[in-house]
Amino acid sequence: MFKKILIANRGEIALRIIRTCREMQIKSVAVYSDVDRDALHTRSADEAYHIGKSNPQESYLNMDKLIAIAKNTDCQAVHPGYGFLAENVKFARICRDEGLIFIGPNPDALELVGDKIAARNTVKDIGALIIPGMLGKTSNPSDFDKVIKDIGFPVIAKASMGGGGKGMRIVKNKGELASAIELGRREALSAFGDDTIYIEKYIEEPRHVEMQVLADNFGNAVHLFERECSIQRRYQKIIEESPSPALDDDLRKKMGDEAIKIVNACNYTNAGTVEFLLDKNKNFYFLEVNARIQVEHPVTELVTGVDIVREQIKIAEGNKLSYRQENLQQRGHAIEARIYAEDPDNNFVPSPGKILHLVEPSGPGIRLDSGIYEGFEIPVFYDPLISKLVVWAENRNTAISRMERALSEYKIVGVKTIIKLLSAIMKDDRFVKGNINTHFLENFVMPEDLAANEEQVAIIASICEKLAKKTYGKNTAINRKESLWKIVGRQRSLQ
Amino acid sequence: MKKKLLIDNKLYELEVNYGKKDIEVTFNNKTHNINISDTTFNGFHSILIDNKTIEVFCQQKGEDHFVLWIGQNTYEVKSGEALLTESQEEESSVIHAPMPGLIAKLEVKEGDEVSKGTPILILEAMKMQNEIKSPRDGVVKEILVKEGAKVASEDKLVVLE
Repeated sequence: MFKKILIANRGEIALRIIRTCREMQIKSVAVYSDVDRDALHTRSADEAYHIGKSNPQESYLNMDKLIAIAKNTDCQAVHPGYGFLAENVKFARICRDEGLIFIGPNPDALELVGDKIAARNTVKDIGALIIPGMLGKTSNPSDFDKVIKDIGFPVIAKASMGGGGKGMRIVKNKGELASAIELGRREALSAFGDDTIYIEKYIEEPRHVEMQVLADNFGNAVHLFERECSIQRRYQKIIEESPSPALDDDLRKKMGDEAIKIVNACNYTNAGTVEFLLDKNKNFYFLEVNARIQVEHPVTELVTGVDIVREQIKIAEGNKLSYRQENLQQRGHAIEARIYAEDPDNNFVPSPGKILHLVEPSGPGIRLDSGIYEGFEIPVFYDPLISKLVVWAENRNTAISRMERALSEYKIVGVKTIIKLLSAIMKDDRFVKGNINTHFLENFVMPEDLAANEEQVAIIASICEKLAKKTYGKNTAINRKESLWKIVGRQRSLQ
Repeated sequence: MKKKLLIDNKLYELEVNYGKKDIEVTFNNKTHNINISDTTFNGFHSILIDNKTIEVFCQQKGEDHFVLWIGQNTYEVKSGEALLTESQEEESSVIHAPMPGLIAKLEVKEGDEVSKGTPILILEAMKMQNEIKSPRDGVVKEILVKEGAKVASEDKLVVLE
């Protein structure tokens, strides 16, 4: 049994792991970079240690320091969360060699599935469908040209060691290829420490459907059903749900069985996700195995009642699975909306900055996994995901209404977020009917803000001075050097 | 009192009359009754426009320069003659940083001819490589940043001729 765990991550996922640790009476150790001293994960863990500069390479990716802190604080295990070192084989091996348990797959399985190209070969060998494309590693432009000659444009360039859409780009013609590979390499190197890029055929209008799996160290594996993750932009998911409106019981069982076959073929252990693309004819192609706790795991937790982080910890402690397949079922419907600090009106450019004011949704069926608070400054160094709003309801339509209601309660002032895009999707007819694929957002037109409420906005704009006076007082100097936040804070403490 | 405003760079004219308690605003020949709450809830004012409830957060950026947060939308509001002319002039010749970050790579040099959509530079922020493109055809007159430089949101990056 673990007594203390080091969490080699930050933000909402670090907090998510700390919560389960606390419920299991396990002490948690956080690490923080220069800019994260005030971050929620730093404040919430039982202990917190400075790890280095704000740049991920010098902090959350610094293996030697992480190991040293884990050992000095008498941790038995390390939870890597997602991103950063979560799928880093070298880190998993170092943990093992240093006597620390890595809460994730065994290093050999991690190496196999973490290398997307190797995983494609393994899955092809057991007779499952894979997407046509590269099966070897190369950086030679002529090898890319050769594969493209066979499969034709459009193709997707992907990071072999990647995940979460980082380094991934669609390439429609030869002119875009070089820059897609170049930008992909830089992103992949900065995010995963490896710049291998490969290409595969771009499947038209697919759904992204994935199976959550759990496997213990004794050869037992179960799946926790599917998540539909077709609503994506820049190949990053923004809305996920379970069950998928595209699956019936028969297809669900087929995909679940296939996922377990793949997991077994890879000798995979701990929690993982087998991703598939589902085409219009309900053929499903293996995409990749995500060897980590995933961002969207809460939707599975809400419909199955399983705490996946708890299961990860129990498997890592050497316990057998707590569940048999026949004991698992999906109940009701869950939807997750990812709140990114990005400007939906300006090509989703990141919008880091200080949270001036925050109102969080609550009420029936709401779960909010958040890494921010009022006064917190979202750093520029890390992923722009700031929180995940998850709802549960007895059926899909009620869940959609509930998500729309919860989003309308959610007010984040100070940075731009994609909340209004998420709200617009909940109102979209195609989404409501479940008629979605991964291209959904490409031809999605945001309702015009100003046109719809032009009168209201103009009226309010005409009384801005009055509003500002009521907020900040009559004699407040304008063009102040001090932040408004400080001034508001001071005024509040006087009230 | 007549009032001219730029809302997200679009010009509006309204008439505002402050009463003892309420405010009357005329827009498009229709007069509305406005009532503002005395207290704020998490920084938000409650506004009644003809008794319809709206929650608004008003952030002051400078003299005659505000950002309004209404529902899930933000609106930039400018008034006063100086701001009205300045923002219209600057708009097309200066490329600003849309976000804070690092200049990862400059794709052009001074004197280069660019067309609308030509990549100008790569700005790295939040793990993404963001390509900043030229907003119009023109010639690069001045590059104000170096590779590796840290920039803040709205910093001037490149001036076009």
